Amino acid sequence: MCKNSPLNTLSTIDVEKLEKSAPASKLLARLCRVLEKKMKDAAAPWSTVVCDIAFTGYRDLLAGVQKGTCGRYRVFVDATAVLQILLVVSRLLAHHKVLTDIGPLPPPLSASERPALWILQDLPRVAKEGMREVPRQHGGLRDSAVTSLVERAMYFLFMHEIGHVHERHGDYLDSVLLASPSTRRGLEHRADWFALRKSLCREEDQHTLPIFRLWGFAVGTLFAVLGVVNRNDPNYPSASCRAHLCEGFVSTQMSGLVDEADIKGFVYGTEEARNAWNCVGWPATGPPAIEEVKQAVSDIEQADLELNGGT
Amino acid sequence: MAPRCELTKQPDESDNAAYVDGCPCAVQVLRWGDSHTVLLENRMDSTTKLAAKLKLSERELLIEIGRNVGLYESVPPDEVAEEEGRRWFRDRYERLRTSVCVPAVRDALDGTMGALGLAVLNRLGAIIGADGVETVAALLIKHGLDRMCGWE
Repeated sequence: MCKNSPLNTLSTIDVEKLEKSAPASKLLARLCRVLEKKMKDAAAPWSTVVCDIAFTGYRDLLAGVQKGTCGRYRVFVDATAVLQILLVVSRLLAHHKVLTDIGPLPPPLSASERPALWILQDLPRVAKEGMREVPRQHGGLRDSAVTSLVERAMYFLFMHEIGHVHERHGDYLDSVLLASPSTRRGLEHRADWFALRKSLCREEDQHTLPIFRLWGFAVGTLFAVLGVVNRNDPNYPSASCRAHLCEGFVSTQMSGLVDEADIKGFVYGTEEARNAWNCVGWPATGPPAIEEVKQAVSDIEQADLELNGGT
Repeated sequence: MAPRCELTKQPDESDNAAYVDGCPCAVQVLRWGDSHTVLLENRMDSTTKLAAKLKLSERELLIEIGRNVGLYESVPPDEVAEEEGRRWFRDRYERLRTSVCVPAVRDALDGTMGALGLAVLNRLGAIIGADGVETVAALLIKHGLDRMCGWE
């Protein structure tokens, strides 16, 4: 086990207590249980470099990787991230014009509904107040779609962190004095691609267009949330750019692994996520400008160069 | 736009720092291009930024550094960033010490704060080719160059 890592002091989530606190939290508790097991199973191949997997509870930090004094890594995902994504996905699917083929559709929202934007405010507030505010679904497939989308978004987020470990991004950051924002954005894109490969090729999933569409919607939604949380920080790529580069990666790099027609489901899903944000009135991020894409490609090249012992 | 100096002679590759006679600015090698031309960044902006960073506390500087060095999916809160910043400083202390504990910086200690800042930035600019060099320079000055370099 790693000693003295700052996050070792965090308490892990108390699922039992969570379950009793409010009806909506039962869903969160169930998700946490499922995710905890999936995270441990998914990280097994990296047990020589990952010393600790933590499912932490309610800190205003979504997920990350930390190096322990033993030189191995601690990967953590916080319950706040699950709650944040659960709130957002529930809110999106509470709109009658989102994922309309998955029923039963809810009635149109009334004008007096609480504005949706507050959900994307600061994480501590979400952790404190959000529990009571998970919009209700109307049962059936739409209910299970919420669970499925949150689970996929969290799985992707976790595999993104494993990607940082697998590609030794932490070792690289330790070897340099300060990495440039460009390199750091490049590392994020690379970790996204790693997560994408691992997520879309997950053994428990059938490789079909509807499944890839769910992945697209989940990943697109996750990026949108991360884009809001990390806005104005030059170390993080924008949501639209991350989604765009993932769409490109799936279309070009994964065509040999899964059926090309099904892959289109992923792109379709990310577009649906963008549209869903528009539907609920959140500031939607359209496709990135060409300059931003060029910059992202340059960021990835820069990260490649540095990881491979370049400048 | 800040004025740029251009150096056409090939720098010694063993030392990323290069200096130009008659050029008032210190030099940072940005990119070694095919043309073998080194672009030199004017440091005037950097000293202005350094002056602003010197107004921050050591803890605030550590937090700023810590926010740039961790692998987190969201901006870390102050206490986590501070811890990361301390770890960063501790792990790189020797490299930083080797870089700034040189006669040019020692001589600048007796001059103005501006001269000292410029001397430290010159040294760090050679090893930190990224944003944040002013934050690190401010941290070193606040930490105490005398103490770090054994010039007490």
